[in-house]
Amino acid sequence: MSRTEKLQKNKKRDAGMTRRKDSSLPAALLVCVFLFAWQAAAMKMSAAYILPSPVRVVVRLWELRGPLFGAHLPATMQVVAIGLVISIFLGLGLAILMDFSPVARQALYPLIIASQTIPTTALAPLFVLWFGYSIWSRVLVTVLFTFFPVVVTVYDGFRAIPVEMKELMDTYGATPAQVFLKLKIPAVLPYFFSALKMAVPLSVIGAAIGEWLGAQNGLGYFSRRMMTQLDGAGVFAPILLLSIAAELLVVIVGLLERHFLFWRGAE
Amino acid sequence: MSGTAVQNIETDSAAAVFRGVTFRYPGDRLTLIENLDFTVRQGEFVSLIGPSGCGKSTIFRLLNRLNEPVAGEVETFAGVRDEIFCSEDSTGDSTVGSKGDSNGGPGGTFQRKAGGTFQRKAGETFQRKAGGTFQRKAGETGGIGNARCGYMPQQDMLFPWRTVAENVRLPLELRGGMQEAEMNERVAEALKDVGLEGWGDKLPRELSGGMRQRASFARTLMTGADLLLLDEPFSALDYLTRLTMREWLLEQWEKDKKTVLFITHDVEEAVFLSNRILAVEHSPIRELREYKVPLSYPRTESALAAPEALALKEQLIRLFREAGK
Repeated sequence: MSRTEKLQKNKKRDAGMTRRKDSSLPAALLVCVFLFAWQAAAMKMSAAYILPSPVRVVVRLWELRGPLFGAHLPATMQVVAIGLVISIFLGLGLAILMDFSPVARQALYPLIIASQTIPTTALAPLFVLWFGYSIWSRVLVTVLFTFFPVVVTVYDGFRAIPVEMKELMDTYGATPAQVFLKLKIPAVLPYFFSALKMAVPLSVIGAAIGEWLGAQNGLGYFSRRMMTQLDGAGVFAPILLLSIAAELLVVIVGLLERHFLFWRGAE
Repeated sequence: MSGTAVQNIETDSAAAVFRGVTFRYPGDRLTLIENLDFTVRQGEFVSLIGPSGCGKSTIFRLLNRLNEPVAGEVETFAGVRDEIFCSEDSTGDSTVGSKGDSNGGPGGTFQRKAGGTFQRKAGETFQRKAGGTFQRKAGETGGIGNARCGYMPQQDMLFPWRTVAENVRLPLELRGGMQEAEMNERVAEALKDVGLEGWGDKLPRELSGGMRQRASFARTLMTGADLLLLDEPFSALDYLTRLTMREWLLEQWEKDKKTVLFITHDVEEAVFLSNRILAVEHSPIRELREYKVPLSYPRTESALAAPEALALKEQLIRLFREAGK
């Protein structure tokens, strides 16, 4: 009982601090200026298939709401969700393994770094050959984009744990399992959330690229189809939706982070 | 009064014994400790003093079993049977003498098991014989005193994600076998003892440096160990806080009757606190020069102005000046 109360008290105070400190006004103003400039340029150019105005994009989003929200957004979100879950488990698993065993670290770390030199987008058509138009080719692209920041950031988190804290637990007679549960997990949590904040937008991008390269539904696929029809606003509309979805996911991760890392206070 | 090298190894009422200990870090050619003998007796407050980087902390690492000596033996003994353990396996035989009695009842030894937990093994108690030496009852191999020490590191090392009370509770949690309510009760008592009553629900970052050190000390007490190893606990504090904290520590020691081994490089702090001062002069450490502090307890700050105290302080400072040349 006291634990939750404490937590809420801390959260309230922290929320108060952030509200005072961090104003989003300058960013909002900058976005407005940018949108106005875009609108003006688009109106002057008057070629919607090349540069649709922001207003047209929003209108098109509304016109296409049926297929976008009904079919393509859920399809993309499914790929994002599966890809993200696999990336998190794979990333955490590899990070824990490398922390646990120096041999595993020596074997895996260079390979993990090397995996990022693979031009995923160039290989994606091959994935379609392997998996067909099933969602697994898209999930694979998503995972290749997403698991890397999870492994590397979480592994760095393990390495950043002060050895003195571990030794102190040893003098208390802690078992390896206790060290893992009571020291490593809580100490790595901030790194895990940093990793998630990188992984979430990457997973959305990965899913969209996967769909763009070979799929029969999803926002990336839809955007590409609109391209072939020279519907400029139709290309942008699903992309706008994708950005909003990614932004929402990042906000959710941020809220979870605030909840679990209440002890860090306002930064 | 001149310093004499410690030779007298008396395992009678020993809390910690180094017997011919040699140590160098694995893969390192530099020997840090060479054939070192010294003893800390039950109930003593002993300061280990020497210039920074001379290997004082290595002595603690050996006592904590974080490193094993290359040669020789390191032994640590629990004094009077620990009350926390008594509450766990309170069989009828828990002869608890008064806690301060250095010749008290059977000293328990705790053996680190393969899994890494400390646990009292059946029949593994030390019995004082008439002759005054410890002897192992059951036919165990080795016979090395291996009691847990209460180690307090230089930095407070409080876990930032745990509240003060949860931090203090950690050693109890790790040992297991204690009800939640009992743990909380003990923690509340310990916090009260160190003057942090009502601060248990705060996070470490909300405390001042001195308060954090006191929380760290309370956590050290929760280990239930009779031998406390304090590694320059006040070195990061400002001068006035240090003065307060060392008086406070002395009060705690007089109250709890634990054995304290205290690392410092502050001569005045050592004189103020200790029964005995063991000085490290050279590296590698071959011997510790012993100085008895000619002051009685309880001590106040004004005791430091006594001529004997000043003379000892001067003598120690001269020693380090010469060693530094």
